[in-house]
Amino acid sequence: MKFKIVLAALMLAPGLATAQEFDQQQLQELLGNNNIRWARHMGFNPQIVRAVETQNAVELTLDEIKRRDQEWRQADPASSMLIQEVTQNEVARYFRRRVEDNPSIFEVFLTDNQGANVAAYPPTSDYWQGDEEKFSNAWNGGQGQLFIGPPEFDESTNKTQIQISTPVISGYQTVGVLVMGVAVDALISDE
Amino acid sequence: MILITTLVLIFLTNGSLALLGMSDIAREIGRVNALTTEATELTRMSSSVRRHQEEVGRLLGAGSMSWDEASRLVDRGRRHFEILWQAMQTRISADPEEVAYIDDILTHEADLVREGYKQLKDIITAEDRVALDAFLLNEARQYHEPFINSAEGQILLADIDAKRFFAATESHGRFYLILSASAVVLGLLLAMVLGPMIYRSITSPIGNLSAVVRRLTEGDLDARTRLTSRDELGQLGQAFDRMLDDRVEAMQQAERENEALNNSVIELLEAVSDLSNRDLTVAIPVAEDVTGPVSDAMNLMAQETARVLATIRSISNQVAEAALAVESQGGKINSLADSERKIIEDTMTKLNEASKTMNMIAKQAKASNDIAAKASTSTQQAFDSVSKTASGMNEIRETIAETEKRIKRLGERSQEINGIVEIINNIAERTHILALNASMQAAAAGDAGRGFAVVADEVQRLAESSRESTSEIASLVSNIQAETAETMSTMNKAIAQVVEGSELAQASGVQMQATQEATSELVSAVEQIAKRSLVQAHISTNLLEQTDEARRSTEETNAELKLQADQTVNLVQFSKQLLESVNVFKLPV
Repeated sequence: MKFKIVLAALMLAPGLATAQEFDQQQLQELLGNNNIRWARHMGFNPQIVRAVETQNAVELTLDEIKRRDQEWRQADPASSMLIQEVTQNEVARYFRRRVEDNPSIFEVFLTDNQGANVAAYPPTSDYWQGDEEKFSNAWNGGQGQLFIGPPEFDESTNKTQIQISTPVISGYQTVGVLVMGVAVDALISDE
Repeated sequence: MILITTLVLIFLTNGSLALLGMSDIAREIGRVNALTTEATELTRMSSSVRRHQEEVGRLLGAGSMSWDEASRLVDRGRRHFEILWQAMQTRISADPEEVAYIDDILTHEADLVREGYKQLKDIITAEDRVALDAFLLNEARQYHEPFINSAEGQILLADIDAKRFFAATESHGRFYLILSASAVVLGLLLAMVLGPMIYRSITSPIGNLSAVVRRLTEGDLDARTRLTSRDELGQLGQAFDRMLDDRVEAMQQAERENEALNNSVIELLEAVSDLSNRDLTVAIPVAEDVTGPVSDAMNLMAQETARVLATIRSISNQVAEAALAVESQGGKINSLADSERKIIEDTMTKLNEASKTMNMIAKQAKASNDIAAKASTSTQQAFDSVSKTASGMNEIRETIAETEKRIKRLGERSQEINGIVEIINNIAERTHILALNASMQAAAAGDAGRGFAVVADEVQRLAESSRESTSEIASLVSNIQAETAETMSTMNKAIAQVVEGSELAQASGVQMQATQEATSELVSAVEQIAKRSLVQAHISTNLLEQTDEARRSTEETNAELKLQADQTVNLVQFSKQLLESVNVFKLPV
């Protein structure tokens, strides 16, 4: 039954030709099939799914998440235990290899069902993504959908990137969100 | 027609829908198939990796497998993995995007699997039980887990996508099926209702038409279809009726008009007979039938022809007069052209002479130029000689003046000699007186003074000869003085002459310089003359050529004029002939 709901959402999505959808279409064309497939593929990788499910099992309170977010923003990435845990675990190492092997991949990070970081490379600017479109649109109230963010300029790297947000699926159920940032310059120079 | 078009359109729509649906469904099934194949391949690869490595551990652990067998099992596993990997690469090789994607998600992981097999093989070859246990327990998963994870993720993704595509295909299929079925049902219903109507609408008017045709062939000219429907057969029937009405009316009208036409044609033929006798004054009667415009046209033609012929006659007259005038004018022009030609020939002869003369002048000017140049050089040389002469004379004058001074000094020295001679004369006089006194003293002394008297005699003789010598010297000196004075006067004369000669030479020098300058001017003037004569000679030659050109052109003009004169004679002849031809016609006054 749940599969059917997801399926219906996936089928209906291309049918609704709102302005937002039209932009999504254009962004998908710009990104190319493989970048999106890659991000979606990672959302099904058992290792990644396990990591998300492990964190979901902890059932962090929103207060705790916000406290960690505060800590994350103020901490020194080199010494903070929290940042190190998130950026140096097994999944983060897997992301790191992706980013380092592929110059067009800007960043990859993973959040649980509340938008709290599970793994990230390189370190994100904050811990909690739950209040941002990149999480809420892909989470889609627990039904999960592909979402492509607008091109954004990143001041720290002086580059423009597009973020692909894809649901992390376990047994046809959305359990978290994976975000992959693709450098726009790389996309344009590839063409 | 509308009915048939509707049916055809329904069939076409049906066919197109079926085609569109089939192609859509085929494409989607193709994608589902690709995804299913991919999922199957990846499942086989990951289960192969897992099975072989687990088996090695399990069987060796249980002691039911020797090291050799384990080694063979590892080799088999490795080979199996490579075969499956190669099969997948071959399948996707036609799609570069797919190759890149698989490379991104699996190549690194596949390399890890290979490395894992290599490590395991090394441990088994070393037959190291402890290392094997440690490897299977800890490190093995580092080598095969990433591949299995990645493959599993891709299998799940392929599964979701395949289901999605399949659901879409099913829904499309259903949609096209319903659409086609509806179209078929609609077509059948329409065919059932419209079929009999179409049949009747075609057969009934055709029966009517064939009955009318039969009555017409039997001679019934009043037979009509009287069809009123608005379809094609109704229109055909109405058109057929109108055609029959027109035909009957036309046949009656044609008979009436035929009669009138016969009469008009006869009148027309009579008039044409007059015209053929060159009588252009004839007027053809104009009937109201079809011959009316013909008669009108022929009358107009006769009038116009007469008018044109009259114009031709008057123009021919004018042409004849003009031709005669041209003929006489031509004669005059010919004679003028002849005299012009003569003048030009004359001019040419004169120009020829002038050109020759100019050439000679040029040559002579060249020669004069050379001579003048030589004269200039000679004058320069003469001027140099005169200058040298003048300076030589000056030197002579100076030499003579110097000589004169010396001779003058010689005269003065002779005067000094005179003084000395007088002193010697005085001394001789006194010596003579002394000798007389001595001889008187000796005579007084007698014998004792005899010897002394001899000496006194000798001294007296010496004084006497001294007096004679001095007198000779005095006369010699006076001679010298007289000659010196004479020489000096001669020299003074010579100096005066030399001065005069030198002045004359200087005057000649000035004169010669003037001459030389005049000669130079002459040389440049002669050179100018030579150059201008050359230019003039060229101009004369050009002029001669141009005149020759003019002469040739005049000759051509002459020939043309002769031709023109001949043609003018022809023209006069032709205008006469033209007049005769036109006069054949009888024209209205």
